Amino acid sequence: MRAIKSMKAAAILLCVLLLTGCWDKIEIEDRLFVLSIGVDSVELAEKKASKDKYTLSFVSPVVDQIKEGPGPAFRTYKTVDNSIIMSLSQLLERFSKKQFFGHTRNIFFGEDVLKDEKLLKEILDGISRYHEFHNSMYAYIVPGRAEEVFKVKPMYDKLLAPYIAGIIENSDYTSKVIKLTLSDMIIMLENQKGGLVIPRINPGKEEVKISGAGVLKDYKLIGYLDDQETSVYNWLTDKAKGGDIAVEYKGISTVFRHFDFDRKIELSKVENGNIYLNYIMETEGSIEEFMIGKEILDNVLLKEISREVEKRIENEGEKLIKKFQQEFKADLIGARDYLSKYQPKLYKTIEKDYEKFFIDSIVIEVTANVSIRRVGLIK
Amino acid sequence: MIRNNDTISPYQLAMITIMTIISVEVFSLAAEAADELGTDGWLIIVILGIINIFAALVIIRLNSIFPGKTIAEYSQIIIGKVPGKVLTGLFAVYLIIVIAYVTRVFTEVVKMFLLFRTPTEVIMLSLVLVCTYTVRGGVECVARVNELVFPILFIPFFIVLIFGYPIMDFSNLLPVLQTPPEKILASIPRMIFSFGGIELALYYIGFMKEPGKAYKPLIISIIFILLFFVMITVFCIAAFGAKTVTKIIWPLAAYIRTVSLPGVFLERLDGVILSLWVLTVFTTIVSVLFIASYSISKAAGTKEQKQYVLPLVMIIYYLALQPQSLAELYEWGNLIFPYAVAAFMYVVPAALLLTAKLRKMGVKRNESD
Repeated sequence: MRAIKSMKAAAILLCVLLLTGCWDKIEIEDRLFVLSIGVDSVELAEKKASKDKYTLSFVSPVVDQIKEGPGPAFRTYKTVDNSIIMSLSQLLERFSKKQFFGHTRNIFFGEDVLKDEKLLKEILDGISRYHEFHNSMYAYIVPGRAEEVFKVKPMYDKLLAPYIAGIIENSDYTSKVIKLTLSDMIIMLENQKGGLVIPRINPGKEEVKISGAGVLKDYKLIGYLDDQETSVYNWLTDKAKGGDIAVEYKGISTVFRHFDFDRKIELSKVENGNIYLNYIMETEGSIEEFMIGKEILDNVLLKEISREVEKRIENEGEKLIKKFQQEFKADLIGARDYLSKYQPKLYKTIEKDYEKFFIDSIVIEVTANVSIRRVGLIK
Repeated sequence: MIRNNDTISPYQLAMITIMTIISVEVFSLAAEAADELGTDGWLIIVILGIINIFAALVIIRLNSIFPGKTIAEYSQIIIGKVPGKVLTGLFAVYLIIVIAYVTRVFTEVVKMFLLFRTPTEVIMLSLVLVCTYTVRGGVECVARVNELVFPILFIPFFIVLIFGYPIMDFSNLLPVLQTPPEKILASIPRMIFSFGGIELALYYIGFMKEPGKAYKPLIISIIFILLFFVMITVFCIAAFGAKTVTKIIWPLAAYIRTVSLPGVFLERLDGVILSLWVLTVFTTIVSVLFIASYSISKAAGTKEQKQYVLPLVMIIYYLALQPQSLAELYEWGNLIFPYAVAAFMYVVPAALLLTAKLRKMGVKRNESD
């Protein structure tokens, strides 16, 4: 009896020893937290094998330097290989830690990658297929090479990635910044058949500036929007929230600030094979600057100023729509979206040759409706 | 035939139905629905749900002719001893294939998202063996496990789903109802498997004291599942758009990966939700495995079902390892299940009910009352 009991106990203990185990354990010290990724096409001088296509840069913080250390708070690891997954395993061959992408905030695409359809498609597939990447990271285009961004030593921040991601999150307050996550990017490319508007980041010496946006068509970069056009693009696609609009009123420059910006599209008429759309912009806000000695708290005056702001929105909007129709020849301003969602029957008749139809036969008018509610603290 | 402590309450019946039907397919459901009908994907689920309410009515009607008896027993009365046993045996074979399929899909998802280096065999065996332990406890044990897991699973699940609100754009669901009706009809057979599991009520109602009380829980649970599925499909399509959803293998997993609770204090919830989701697979396997072993014991004419459970594990394990890849697994699933589910959920109960009516078997109820 005793023997059986001790046998039983031994068996249980053996179970504890033999049956426990964790195949997937990685200690936190062994992890390399990648905060940003840069994607470039390979430069001839860096090419080691003829198959190499990409230069990938991974930025990771140096934990003991973040708080008080004198050294740089982040390191850049660079790989040259022919695919994103091979680059990841190259990191394992060259460095002792295992990379971890759960906290990655940014992904930067060099201009070259976005100019090459095949490279971009490959890299996007690699990224969306790989389970470790979270699609909530922000995507940017860098004129020149993406690795340039990682040479920036931010003036007031220790780490680069939260600094840049923080700028993007300011898009709630300024309409000149486009917020684009990787998942938005993948969805937009899918829905627009290769069309995309992606924020541009200009690396400087001690700071970066998010300025303008790159425009892609058929997975290829075809041009850039400047700062002001980016803001208009945000209005047209209903992505704008807060922001400032500067106008001149009788020689005095004044600023209209809004915290909400609504865009609605209406079908005004279908005539002679043309489709007339009306983009209705609605916003309300306050006047932030005028001139000492002149009172602005006056209903008639405010109406006139708001009329100025409306005019500005309408002009700029129509200008950018023209640019998309005639220069880029791509509908990235939501007209197709509206037609396919709200006018499915009409859309079916033009679906086949939509791009040509968009250029020639869609007439878009912008109507702005601005209400100035407040004027600040003085009259 | 049934021991006194082997009864389940109406509430437990509802829990079993919900937890059985909701299993591995929740993750791929939105992709399949959107693939069939685009932005109208949710419509097919509503239609299937309504069809299945009628299927449930047939099942309850059939069971209330023979109170206290499961299909394994009364099929022998209706169509004769040997055909009844054959039918029960076929049922068992079908259920074993279901478990093998669920186990394999589960393993693939877990390997993809949670345990990359853990061997497939270990993931499978550790899941199925835990199920074995529960199933050996009998019907009460199975019912209680289902009852227990329900709130643990659904409360966090709903919270996380709702916090995805910022990434949703409900205009992605437009245009509504633009699909031609013949396309909707054609898609019904391909989506049937998503509601597979209602046929287990053929057995579980037999464990209830009064089959007449099964109407309410069964219909409520089907409506609950219907709403849950519609919610998942609508949320996924709203978040990604109908086009992109069809490109993702498990849209719900992708959806949960993009959700972050406000204030950034909780990000990356996919690990938590996937580990919770293990529970739904667990309950599905438990309730199906119990019925599989019970059917075998009835077909073989033995009193207990316990001794069949462990040998079944080996068969399940073997079957689950057969498909070479995820692609092959889904191919096999699409080949087998539309027919098998339609047969056992609609054809068998309807045919049995018709035969029982024709042979005027309803009289027997008065005798036993």
